[in-house]
Amino acid sequence: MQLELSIVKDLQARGRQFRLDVDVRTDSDAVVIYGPSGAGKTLTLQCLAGFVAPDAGRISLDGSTLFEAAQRINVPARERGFGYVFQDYALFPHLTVAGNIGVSLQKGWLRRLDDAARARVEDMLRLFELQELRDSYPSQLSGGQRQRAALARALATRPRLLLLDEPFAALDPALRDRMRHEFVELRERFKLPMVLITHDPADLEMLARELVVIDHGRVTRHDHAPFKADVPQGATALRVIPGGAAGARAA
Amino acid sequence: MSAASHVAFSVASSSSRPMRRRLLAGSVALVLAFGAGSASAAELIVSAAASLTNAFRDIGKAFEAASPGNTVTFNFAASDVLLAQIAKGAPADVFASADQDAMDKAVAQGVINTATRKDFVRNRLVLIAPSDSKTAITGLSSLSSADIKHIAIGNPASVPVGRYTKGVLEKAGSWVSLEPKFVNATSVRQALDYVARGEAEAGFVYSTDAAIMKDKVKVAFEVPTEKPILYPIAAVKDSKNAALAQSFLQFLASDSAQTTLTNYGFGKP
Amino acid sequence: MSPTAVPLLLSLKVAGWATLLALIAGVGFGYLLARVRFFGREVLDAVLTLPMVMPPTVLGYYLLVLLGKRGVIGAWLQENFGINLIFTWQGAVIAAAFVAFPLVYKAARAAFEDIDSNLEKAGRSLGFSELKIFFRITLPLAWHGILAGAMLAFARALGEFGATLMVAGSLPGRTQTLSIAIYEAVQAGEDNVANHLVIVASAICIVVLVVSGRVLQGGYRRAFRY
Repeated sequence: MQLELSIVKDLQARGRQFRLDVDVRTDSDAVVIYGPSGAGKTLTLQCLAGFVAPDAGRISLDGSTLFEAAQRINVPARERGFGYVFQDYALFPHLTVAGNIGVSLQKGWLRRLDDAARARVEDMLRLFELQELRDSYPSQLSGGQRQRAALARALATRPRLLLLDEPFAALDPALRDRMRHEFVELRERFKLPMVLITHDPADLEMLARELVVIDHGRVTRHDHAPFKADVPQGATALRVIPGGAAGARAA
Repeated sequence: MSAASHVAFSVASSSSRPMRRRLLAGSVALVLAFGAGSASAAELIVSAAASLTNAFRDIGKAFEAASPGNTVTFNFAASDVLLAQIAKGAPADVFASADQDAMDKAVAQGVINTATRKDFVRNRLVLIAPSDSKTAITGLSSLSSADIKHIAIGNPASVPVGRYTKGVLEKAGSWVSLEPKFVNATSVRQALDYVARGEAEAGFVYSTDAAIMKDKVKVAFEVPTEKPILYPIAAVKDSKNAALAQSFLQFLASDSAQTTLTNYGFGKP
Repeated sequence: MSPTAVPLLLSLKVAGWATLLALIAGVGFGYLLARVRFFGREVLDAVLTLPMVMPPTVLGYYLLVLLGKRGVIGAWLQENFGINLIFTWQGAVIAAAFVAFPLVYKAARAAFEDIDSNLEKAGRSLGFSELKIFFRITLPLAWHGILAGAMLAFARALGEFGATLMVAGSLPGRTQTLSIAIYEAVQAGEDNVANHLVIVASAICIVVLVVSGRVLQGGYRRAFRY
């Protein structure tokens, strides 16, 4: 995919000003956004998704403009065709797992699922091993199960880009490792481009083909794979092994 | 102003004993202020029919001027309502009713000093309409016209003017047929207000009430009643101000009180 | 006993319609103020809450002035539709709806604000229209709080007296609600009738409370939140 994300967003929170000013251009299919908390990573992803409108700039994917401040273009989130996995999964608490996955496929007021849609829900349940939990509610699921359900829900609409906000953060380390492997398989299977936010250096190593580091609202580093997982906690400096095409851009 | 700064000064100064004394003094003052009014001069409470509102307020002021140190407090409502309050122990000293029925009920319930009962004014029943009304109302039969959609009457169960009205309409044979048009008012003054506001196209009130709102209502005609409209007044039996109640009753016979009553349109009993 | 049946049924009818009106307006405004940030939002919130804190007679007076034959709205209604709301049960509904509205509005706004905004964003990412988000995500998650508000509103409308008396007056069979009937019975010294009416009114309040408790409890058992 070809992604251009050059945006500026000013925020005021608790009397303090925050300015997001990022410029990311990439044609990688696996972009990881890395950085300390409060850096602006989630805000960036939400702007990309269309949940938040930037104050200035431009967002385009594969040549089509999703946002252009100067020309007042702002494609609403519902039309961008992106899947989004939230940090706390944001599963609909009043719907079952099957309901969560299928709700986006329902047509009309009577909430019909045609045969194709029904088949897809079954596929998702099977793929993510959620068949036995199909009638369970999110509050009855474990963390890992919720994460799978959230993924299943996002993928049910066949999005063209998957956005994930720290998808493994709430899982314990063993589960995290397993999920990472499954995730790589999934990505291969669906051939789905993704942008993923993470804190975890291990995620970097396994998942990223391109790395964007954001700190204090700005991109401080933009590198290509491979990456060595040798990163002190929360730091913005990375050691890149020789051989990787280093395209560091200082902000 | 000075009290506030006094308190502020005492708070600023750090020694605690004067502070505690001031707090105590402050709280005592608060309690006294809350409970005040009961100690000093005598307060006469007069429960009177709503139609007497304006006249009695003037007479009350004159009475206070004539007997310094005493105050008169009025409680105006429909006569039956006042009776219900007195019967349940409300501390009224004098009861003035707009018809004999209410006073008779009071006597029957044993709350009146019957020796003090006497009729003190006379009134007349009139049919009124909003002053800008174009509908011709010449007699009771006009009330059946389709132009008259709402007729304001006192609720006969609790308002004397309603009872007078019912008596008149029953005699004319139209009480039942007009019933869908009735709007029950809780007092004669509320009936007056309904007509003054134009919400009711006609209403039955006393001539004295119609006179109060001369600019908003007009009298269509006077309605003759079976019995004359005589207002009785009496002292309440277990009143704490029996002597003062008596002097108020006597004051009503005075020239100034009589003039006031006549000015408002009341007749001699 | 038929002296109680008529005012009782009338009270239920008036309270029912008033709650419905309050529900529509309350949910609408509650959603607007919960989701949209605009200049003067909290001032509007105060205005919308006003009927709850205002003495009912004051509210009744304002309504009487506005809706009466000489009032701004009343005259307009009379001229264009031949409708006069004073002394009608519809007028009683309006008065009761005004006092009941803030109860639904406040509950609805709180319920909507309580919903995790990520859930609505998730809906957007899945391609939902705003209408679908409201009916499939927002409302199902908020309806509990809204219902609680509606129950309170119904109880309030049922007991409404001051404003109703001003606007609708007391017309036996047409606007003499239970509360007004009690008042008039006391005024007339008819203690027996008053006692009877009061018992009926109290019984209804208790029923409303018990039913609402059951409904709300059953819902919570549905493991609603994470």
